[in-house]
Amino acid sequence: MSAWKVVLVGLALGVVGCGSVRTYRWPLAAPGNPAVRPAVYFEGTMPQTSMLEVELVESIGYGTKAEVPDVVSGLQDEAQRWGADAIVRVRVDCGHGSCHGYGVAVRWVTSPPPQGP
Amino acid sequence: MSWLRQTLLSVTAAGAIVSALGCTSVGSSAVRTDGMPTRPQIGAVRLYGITQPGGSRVIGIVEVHAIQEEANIEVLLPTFARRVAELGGTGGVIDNVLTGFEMRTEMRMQSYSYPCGYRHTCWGSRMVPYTYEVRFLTIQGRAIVPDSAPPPVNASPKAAEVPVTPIMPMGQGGGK
Repeated sequence: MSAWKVVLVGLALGVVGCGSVRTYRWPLAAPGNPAVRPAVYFEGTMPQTSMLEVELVESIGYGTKAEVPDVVSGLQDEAQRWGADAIVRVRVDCGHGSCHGYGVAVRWVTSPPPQGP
Repeated sequence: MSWLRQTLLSVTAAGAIVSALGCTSVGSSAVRTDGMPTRPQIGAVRLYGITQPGGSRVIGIVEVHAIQEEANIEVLLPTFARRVAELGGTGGVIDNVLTGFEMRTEMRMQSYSYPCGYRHTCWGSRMVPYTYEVRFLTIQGRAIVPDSAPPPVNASPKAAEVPVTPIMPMGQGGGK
């Protein structure tokens, strides 16, 4: 393999391998069927409807993934996998090398709230 | 200098083994706030992430924390539930999940080589400052029981019945 190929592979590995997102969960109710992409309600806003707590979700982004969009997307992936309609009480805190997000995944009991988050 | 390097390596290896085997960053605290003595319960603990369910009352507060790799809910919530159960609670309401970051600096050993003599390489070691970021996670919440659970009683019921007497009798400087 020539030198420039080694450099290219190294760069590719560096770009791909320098960031990751880990998700954690704590189940609170039986999971539902994965459906829509869960809506996100940051701390301070709460949908005006009845809801069932499905699970607590947490997402931690490292390196190049230590950004709010990556962490929120990690929360949504985890919540969607377990059939949640929304994530409420979402809070994201970022440092220099990692970013932490937390929220409560919920399912609407009656009907979705009249307006989005 | 080789004995010094060997000693330092041994100490470092021993420290790494001890930290890998026995030390955890998980800490917790729990306080019963309703005046009842702590009475652990052995049943399951249900957690609530948004609000306290109706028909329940608070019996205490619980806090758990950890840093770095252990600072996640899958490590901390079992400890949270255990502390709720130790207080006698059957449920836990999570009020705050707080994350913080702080920079720490510690001195670390670094080995280096340098040319010495004729075509020889010598090795040395030195302490250098190393700064890194520490992420910590704190979960705070309340321990609850159903309203039907035994109500709190005054921890010292006779305290109110005991007449309050001044340390010094009136007329001798005590009282008004």
